[in-house]
Amino acid sequence: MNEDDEVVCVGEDRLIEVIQTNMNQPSILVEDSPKKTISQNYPIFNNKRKNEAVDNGPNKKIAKNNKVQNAIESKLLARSAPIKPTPIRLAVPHKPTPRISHVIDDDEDVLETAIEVNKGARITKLVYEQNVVHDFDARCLHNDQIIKSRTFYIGSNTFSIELVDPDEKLQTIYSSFSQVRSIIYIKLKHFQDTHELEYITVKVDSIQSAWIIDKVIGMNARISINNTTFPNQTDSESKGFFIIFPSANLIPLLSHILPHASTFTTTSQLYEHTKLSPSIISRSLSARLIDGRAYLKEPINTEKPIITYKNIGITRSDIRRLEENQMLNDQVIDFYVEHLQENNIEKIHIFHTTFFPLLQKDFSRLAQRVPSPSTRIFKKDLIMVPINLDNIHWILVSIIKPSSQEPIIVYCDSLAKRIQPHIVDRIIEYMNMRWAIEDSQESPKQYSIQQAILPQQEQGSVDCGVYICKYMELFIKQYNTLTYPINKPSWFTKNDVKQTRIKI
Amino acid sequence: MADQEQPTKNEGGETGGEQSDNHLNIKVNYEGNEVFFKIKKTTPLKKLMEIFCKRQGVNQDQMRFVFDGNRLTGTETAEQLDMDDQDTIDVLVQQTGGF
Repeated sequence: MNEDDEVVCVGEDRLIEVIQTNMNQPSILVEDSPKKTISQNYPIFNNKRKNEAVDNGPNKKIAKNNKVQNAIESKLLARSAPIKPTPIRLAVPHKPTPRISHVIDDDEDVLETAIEVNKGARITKLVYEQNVVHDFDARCLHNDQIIKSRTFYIGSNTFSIELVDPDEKLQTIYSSFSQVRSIIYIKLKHFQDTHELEYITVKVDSIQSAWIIDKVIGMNARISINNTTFPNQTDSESKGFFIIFPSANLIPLLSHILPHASTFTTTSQLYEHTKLSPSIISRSLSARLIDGRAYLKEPINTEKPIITYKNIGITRSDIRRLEENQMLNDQVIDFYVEHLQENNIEKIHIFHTTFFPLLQKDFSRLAQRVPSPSTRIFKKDLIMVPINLDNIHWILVSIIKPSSQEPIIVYCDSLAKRIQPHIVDRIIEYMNMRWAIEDSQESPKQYSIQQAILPQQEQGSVDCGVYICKYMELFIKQYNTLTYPINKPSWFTKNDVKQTRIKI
Repeated sequence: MADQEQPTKNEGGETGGEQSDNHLNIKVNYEGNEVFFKIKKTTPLKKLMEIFCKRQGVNQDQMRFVFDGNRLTGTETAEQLDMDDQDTIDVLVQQTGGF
């Protein structure tokens, strides 16, 4: 997905918005002016453009290389002479992110979501990711008075709530509502499994047609309008705008409005139609999910783990990673970690693969809590930290005899790259912090850092995860007898690597 | 860990914040963003995980939920894990590596 897949909506008589939620936040369209006729044409840009528009004032034209957008833009600007306030999103840097909290209530089978917005924000529309919204109830709390708002059922993946009710009475309430820090509560019944979810996808050739559908069917049907361009796509057939509706019940209505639109009720039909290989589609589908903008959604089939050992659930696809020429994932390595640690819990501590990324993120919390303070890592003889580098490579950092006077940090890399100082520094920082927590009497130890010379993986192989497992295994067996710095390029052989894969 | 069973109040499912004793506020930290959950101590965390993944539109298989360095499978409850109010669950995406 690139950022340029943009949707420019040109509307007739109402505010248009692009449903483009950020991954982690609901996007909330906020207007700055309290009262405004939402009845003019509006160019909508992507976030970046929009921010620029906010900064520069809406009448300044932003030079962009996209000719079409510019054309539409300038047309619009020419037509709509009075300067309108530009809607901005809460996600822009100077606006604080709304705080979202969910309340899970088992007894009532209700999930309540509270979104706290800042003072002054007048919410016109809220787009929030959600799977199935059967029926829900949105309330605004203002001076302890609950205000019912008109709510819209949007669809399977998103819902939006329009808090501005056309009813005049409510309008007034909402203007005062904006004076306080307000909380919107959304309450909904627990959704059913997404697997059952039925949706139809409509492909139309232009955004105008998409817009027509949207207008005719209204909020009740629209989920998303997306300019879908699949990567490596030469077939112009499959380019277009996709609209996904929550239910196939709407097909008759749609075919009435747009007789030429193609509709697909299932993803497989979509495959068929676009003649793209399923892998490309699913890749773009998942990419779209990852960047949070797409609503063409594959049902998520959560795999059931087939083995669970000490909380590490291994699924079939994890096991498939043990076949040759497959990269190992964290699950497999952690599983092996648990296995190795099983009989050596007294002397050895091996961290999970989740440890290091979290250490990077929230150092002091991790250092204080992981492992639990009752675990004395300085009583151990060997500490090992498997670390993932950029999601492509595994390395291992071992701390030999942390209890001794001269502990050694051994950096093990099956590609023999140079030691990455920031990793070792982090580990030492952690050790020192732990030292302070566990035994604050003495000054921190001095660690000597060494790079181990170890069997290396072959060029082009994807075995580093296996090498890490093997290193760990051998460290456990031999850490006492090894001489440091380690110089054992033939510690184990290629065949052992294969064996290890099988063994794991 | 799970030896201190607190008496669970189930008073007809009244929603109104009266049962706050039974509830915990838990922060879920994912890529620098925090989402808050209020969940009963006795509810398996599976529910939280599912809702989180669905809300984020991510595949649960690839998400690792970690509390104090330990993986969560979802069968645990906050009570069993000795969670306190405002504790944080970290969420990580699957890591792979080969080269």
